[in-house]
Amino acid sequence: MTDIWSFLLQTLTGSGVAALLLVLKAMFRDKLSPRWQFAVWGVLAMVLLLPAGFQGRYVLVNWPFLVELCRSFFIGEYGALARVTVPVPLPVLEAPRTLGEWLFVLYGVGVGALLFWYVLSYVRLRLALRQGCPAEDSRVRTVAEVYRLPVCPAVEVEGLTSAFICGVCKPVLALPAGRETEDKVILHELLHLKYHDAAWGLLICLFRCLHWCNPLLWYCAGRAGNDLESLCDQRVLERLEGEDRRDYGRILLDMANARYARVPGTSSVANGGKNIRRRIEAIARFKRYPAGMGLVSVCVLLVLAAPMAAGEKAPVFNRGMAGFAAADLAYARTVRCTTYAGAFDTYAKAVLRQRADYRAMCAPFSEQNQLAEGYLTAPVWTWEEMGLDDEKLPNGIDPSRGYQIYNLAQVGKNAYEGLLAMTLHDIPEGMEWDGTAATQWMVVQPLRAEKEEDRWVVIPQGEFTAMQGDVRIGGNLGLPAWEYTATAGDFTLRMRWQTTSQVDSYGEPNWFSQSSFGTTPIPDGKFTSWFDQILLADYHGAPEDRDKYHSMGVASMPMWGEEERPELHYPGPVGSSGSSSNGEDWGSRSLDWEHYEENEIFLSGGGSSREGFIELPSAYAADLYLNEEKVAELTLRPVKGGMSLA
Amino acid sequence: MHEPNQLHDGLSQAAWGYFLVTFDFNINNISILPRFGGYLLLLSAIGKLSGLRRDLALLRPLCMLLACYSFGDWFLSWSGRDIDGIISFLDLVVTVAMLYFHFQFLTDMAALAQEFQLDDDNLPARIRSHRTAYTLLVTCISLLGSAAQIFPWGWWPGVTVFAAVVTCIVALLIMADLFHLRRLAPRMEIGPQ
Repeated sequence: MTDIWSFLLQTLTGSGVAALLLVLKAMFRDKLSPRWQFAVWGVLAMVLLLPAGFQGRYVLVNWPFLVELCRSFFIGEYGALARVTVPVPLPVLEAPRTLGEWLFVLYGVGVGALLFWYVLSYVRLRLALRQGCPAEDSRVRTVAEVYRLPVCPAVEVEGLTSAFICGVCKPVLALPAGRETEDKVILHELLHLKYHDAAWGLLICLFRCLHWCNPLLWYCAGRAGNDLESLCDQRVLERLEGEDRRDYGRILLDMANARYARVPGTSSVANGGKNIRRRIEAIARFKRYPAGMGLVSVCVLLVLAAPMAAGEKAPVFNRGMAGFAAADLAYARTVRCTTYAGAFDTYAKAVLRQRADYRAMCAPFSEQNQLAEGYLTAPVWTWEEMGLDDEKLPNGIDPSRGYQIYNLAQVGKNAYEGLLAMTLHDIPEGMEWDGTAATQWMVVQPLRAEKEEDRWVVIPQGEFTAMQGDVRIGGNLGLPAWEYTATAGDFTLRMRWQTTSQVDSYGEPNWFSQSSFGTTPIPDGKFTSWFDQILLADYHGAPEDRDKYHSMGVASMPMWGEEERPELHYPGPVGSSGSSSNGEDWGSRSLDWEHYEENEIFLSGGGSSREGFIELPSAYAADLYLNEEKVAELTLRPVKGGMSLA
Repeated sequence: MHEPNQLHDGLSQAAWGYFLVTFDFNINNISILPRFGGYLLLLSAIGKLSGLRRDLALLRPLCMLLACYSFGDWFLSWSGRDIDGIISFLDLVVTVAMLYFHFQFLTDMAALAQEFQLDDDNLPARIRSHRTAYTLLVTCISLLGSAAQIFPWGWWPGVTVFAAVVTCIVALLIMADLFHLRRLAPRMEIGPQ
């Protein structure tokens, strides 16, 4: 925690869980055992130890949104998000300037002061124990032997009103000097020793320090301490019979210890009248819980703990939050894109729907203030703001046709680039359509997704450009692709490699309608990708020589990384062809020179789809056959990138 | 004074209650066997049997909570909505209440069977083992839901459906146990609570 907002997020998350546990404890007060009553605080401890809002998830209540709303309302700054990396305050080296920063300093000082006070009390107690006399420990040993419990050194100290265990690593049993301590009290304390209750007390004190200004969590810490005592009472009662059990209630009244109440690392508690009454009531209700109750107690704990550990993801709002622009934006900012595919998807849908709040989900922090400024005055993200020319693009983009990310490539450890392409409603002004059914006008924009803290953001790498797409054969010939080439004699082989990726946004079709493209962002989406490869050969020999080539066969296969050149298929006699899902292609054809434009020979084309990202081949292996004889073993190397719009 | 066949009525209601609580058939999102009907039957069974088993009365508030929640769910289903997920706080309270309620109710039924010293000596143990299986299955389904939040693997729904089918089978076995108990139980008057 490095600012007051991250502390607020952490402590509010804990408070929600604390409130739930108090309700459940009230519900099961007379139904589940003291073991469960204490163990259930473990769920709160787990939540307080896990960083709140991790990966944009929340526990029970969408606290990240509420904290973000407060933050943006009070400081009017959008360039950061409340984020907890570790659930303890971390020192901030800069001098505080704003009220929030001063409050965080105050909080940190409070944690330090309380921690200091607890350490001081512990040291004071240890010094007092050092001045005590070693107790005659035969009675302690007798009790321990009867009940088969561990023992520790015992000291008698002046001024103590009751016995307690002090210390976690080297525990000491402190007994009041000048009076005889009851066996049942010794039993109680030895049970604290056996179950290391002093360590639990230490953990509770730690939480008290970290959340010193949260009264609900302080109350829960007190309840947890009392539940620990009740659990110890239960353990005592399980070892006693008949009259001894009734007697134990009377003894409890003597066990209150106001002088060293709640000192960390001890089993000493401030047993006020109310707590004593609660414990005596519990003793009156005492029953041996059947073995089966252990099962349901554990099941209840698991059912409670699992959703707290997993958290929930905030859904993407389709319609905004009832017209509260500030709330819309604060909400959108807390719905983080947790995958790069989700970030691309969110950006594309922000453009398709002209939604600035969707853009806020995937915009870098540096752009958030500017986005907020525009959004708070007019919530619709205009084409101009996106960099599209309104006048030249009548009716804008067709959202029902969705989007595609072309030529996705990993460009760094946490960075991906791709070309966003969307279909236009109409032909841009001043442009013409070539009239073929296989072409369509599109806008394309190069994008880069990269990780910023624990969220993925999208940064446009250029302006939108209107282009005419061409889907006559695999992929889109109007859009860029990677190109691999190699030359042998009079021929140059060219492999065109293009990928297309999209997060599946089509709903399931039903009896009444076809599935349609859903424009709600999927911030944790995963890509489904297709690759298309087209192999072409260019003849660049003398025109009069070309007739000596009457057939051509090629087998090709993509290579990844430092892979060795693979053995390739024989392309077969003229007319044969084949392909494999790993990208291998082979085939032979006769050369009909009359039909080739500019001596460009189409050899093969095909592709396949994969889940996720398709890595770019480092090269292509190709065997070239002319007139049914192998003439070259080639390695096609990349010469052109997939993002170039030139 | 209660009617002599109150015990038999109570056990019948408990058995049918389990059927309605577990089997939730929907037509266009509207439940035709609403779950709250099952909880109302269980509530009535608690009223009839608590004279014999005092602990059962402790379950009445939980049963009422479950009946109200199920009614809310059924009511919302008419508008095509689902109560589950609206308030996480309430979902958890209800899941935990349900887990405990069924466990304790079946524990009490097993104890009742034990008290009657029936011809079928195995019935109490059978009820207890079916109770344990039911509790573990409900816990598993709940844990699967949480695990699916963190690990969005494609096979979670299949595992959850499998667990739900097994739960339905166990519920049918519990129903059979309760009818068997009803058949063997002596006809007796139950005094005022």
